[in-house]
Amino acid sequence: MKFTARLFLLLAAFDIGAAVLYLAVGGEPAGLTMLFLAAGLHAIIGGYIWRLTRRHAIGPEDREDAEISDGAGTVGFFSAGSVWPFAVGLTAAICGAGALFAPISAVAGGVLLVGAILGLATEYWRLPD
Amino acid sequence: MTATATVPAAPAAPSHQPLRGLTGLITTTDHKVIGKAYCLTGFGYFMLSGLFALLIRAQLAGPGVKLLSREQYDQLFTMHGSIMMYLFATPFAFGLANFVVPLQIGAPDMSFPRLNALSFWLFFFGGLVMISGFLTPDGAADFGWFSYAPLSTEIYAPHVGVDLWIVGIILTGLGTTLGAINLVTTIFTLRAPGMTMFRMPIFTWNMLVVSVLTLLAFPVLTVAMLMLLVDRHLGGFVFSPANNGPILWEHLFWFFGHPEVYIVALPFFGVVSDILPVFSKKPVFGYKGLVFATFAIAAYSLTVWAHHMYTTGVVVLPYFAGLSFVIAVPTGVKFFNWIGTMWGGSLTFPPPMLFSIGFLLTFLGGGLTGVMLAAAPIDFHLAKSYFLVAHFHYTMFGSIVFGAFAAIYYWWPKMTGRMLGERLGKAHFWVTFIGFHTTFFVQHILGIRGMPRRVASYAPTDGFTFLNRVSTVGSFLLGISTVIFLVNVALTARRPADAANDPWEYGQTLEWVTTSPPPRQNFTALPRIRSNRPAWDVNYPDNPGLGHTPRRASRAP
Repeated sequence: MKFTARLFLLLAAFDIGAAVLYLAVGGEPAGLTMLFLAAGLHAIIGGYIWRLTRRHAIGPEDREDAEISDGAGTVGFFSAGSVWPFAVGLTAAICGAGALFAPISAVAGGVLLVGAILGLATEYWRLPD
Repeated sequence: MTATATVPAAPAAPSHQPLRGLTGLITTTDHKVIGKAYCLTGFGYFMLSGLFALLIRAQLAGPGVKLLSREQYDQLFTMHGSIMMYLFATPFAFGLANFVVPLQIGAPDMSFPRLNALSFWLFFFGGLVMISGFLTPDGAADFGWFSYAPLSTEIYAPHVGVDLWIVGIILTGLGTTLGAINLVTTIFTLRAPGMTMFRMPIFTWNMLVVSVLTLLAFPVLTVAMLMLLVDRHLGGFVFSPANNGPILWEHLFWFFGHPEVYIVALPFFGVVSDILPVFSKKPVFGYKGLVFATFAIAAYSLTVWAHHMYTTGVVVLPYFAGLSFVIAVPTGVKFFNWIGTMWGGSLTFPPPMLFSIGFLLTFLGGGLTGVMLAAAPIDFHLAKSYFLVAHFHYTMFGSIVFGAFAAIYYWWPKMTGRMLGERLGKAHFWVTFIGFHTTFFVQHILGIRGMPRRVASYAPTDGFTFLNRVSTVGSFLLGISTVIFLVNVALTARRPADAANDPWEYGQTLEWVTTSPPPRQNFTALPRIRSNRPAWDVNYPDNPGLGHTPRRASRAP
């Protein structure tokens, strides 16, 4: 993982280099902004992985000699099925397209969308047994 | 739930059995079902958009054909491009990744199953919103898939079809962004024990890089589209010509648009990198070289956006021309590795391999004309001509369509448990290959002779008639090739679902050790992972893959 972190930090450095070169040859502000923001995003990913590798013991997925049993146990909670993603997608489309035709359909769609998002967010507040 | 040595780490058992039928489809969070739904919907859009292309080619079959009005023609080429890019190429790539990546890294599902379903539904409904413009009185968007301001502002495109197009792109773009977050998290956190980063299949590596590119590029598009809506309805002046807005639009759009062509091409580079070793019966040549080349392409793809804007006259030509030349180098490294993989191998040519080689030949053609167009003096002459149309289709059709069919034939048994017919598959390949080159090669010549893009007709005296007719014949061959594929699918559906775990016999990556199709949580047992080709190591332990580490004596069972 350390090497992966370096790869992403290298991408960030590359973006900064490209931005500086762009500035030197007379680049415009929109592209400069975007290149610096790209550097930031690469640095976030690289920095996050770097922190992970420093703070935590290396997991079995990053050890070359790990046995499958080393990763045994519960990985996490995986939803077996949920209607809320469908509801959020549908109401987002209703809200977005509705906004083009009348304020009332935008508001109605917005209320439905907020309801669906709340449904998605609170579905597993209490985990099933 | 705990697992023994032979049972992989399993997630918490589902509280109830997954539902079947339509309710099951609507509520599913299974990455395999979502992946297949993505691919199926994307392929439906591919056929719809292909139909638009046939109408366009029929219109151009001769001078003075009056099949379509100019307005209809503009709508069709705009929606052809938009649907192919936003509703076929991107979702199909992410659908494949959805199905394949968790299998390739030994994960039970994606990290966020519900977010995964949400990505699909945003794409599904966003796509419907986008094409619903055809149902409005003034028709769909009609200014090209890059919607240059001021042509896309309320003055020149006042109809609501444009707004539906914009909202559709925002919705599908949001879905793609969420899908990218899910893939990055899955690849970083759900790999099986021993599946280190540098043992991941190249397809998974490429999807990681593609997802990061997506996180960079799609928000720019979404924000630009939202600002366009503000300009159109709330009296904004962001893209007003008075303050140089059209140039700002081009910068924003192409800062998305150039990474986007790599977002849709790199997944299929990965597909081919996984297919070639299997049918060459060799390990992939230069594994790390392929990974680094992908990173290099991703890095450079962010720096070359304005080579789409040479003809605006306000970009720094040497900067963008230089970097555009350089980006050919990592792509060349990949070609070197692909040829090296096949070199000296024991080659067989079932349909996945044929489509992969079709990809190599076609994409190479597009890459070479790309280097030509990166040279500003050539670009100034050819950018608004059919030469660019030919270049674009050689790169995009070459990578996406050939790559997608290679992937479909390769993973079909894993997805459905049935092998697609080989004989019809080969016929499908040859008709596609011949049809494609008949359609698009002559467009290079038409462009050099001066035929402009986006014109609904031409005069008999222009001298474009013969080559256009050739191109139209080729495009109908492409239509026939898709029919052959559909016949193949229909015939295959009647066969028993009896594909082996590894029907290709020399599968190298982890998806080939589980059943076809895989069980709900993908694996009932995982093999020990000691190299970048764990499935091969299971079947051929005497000839282990790259980065193999011997079993430690101290870890006796």
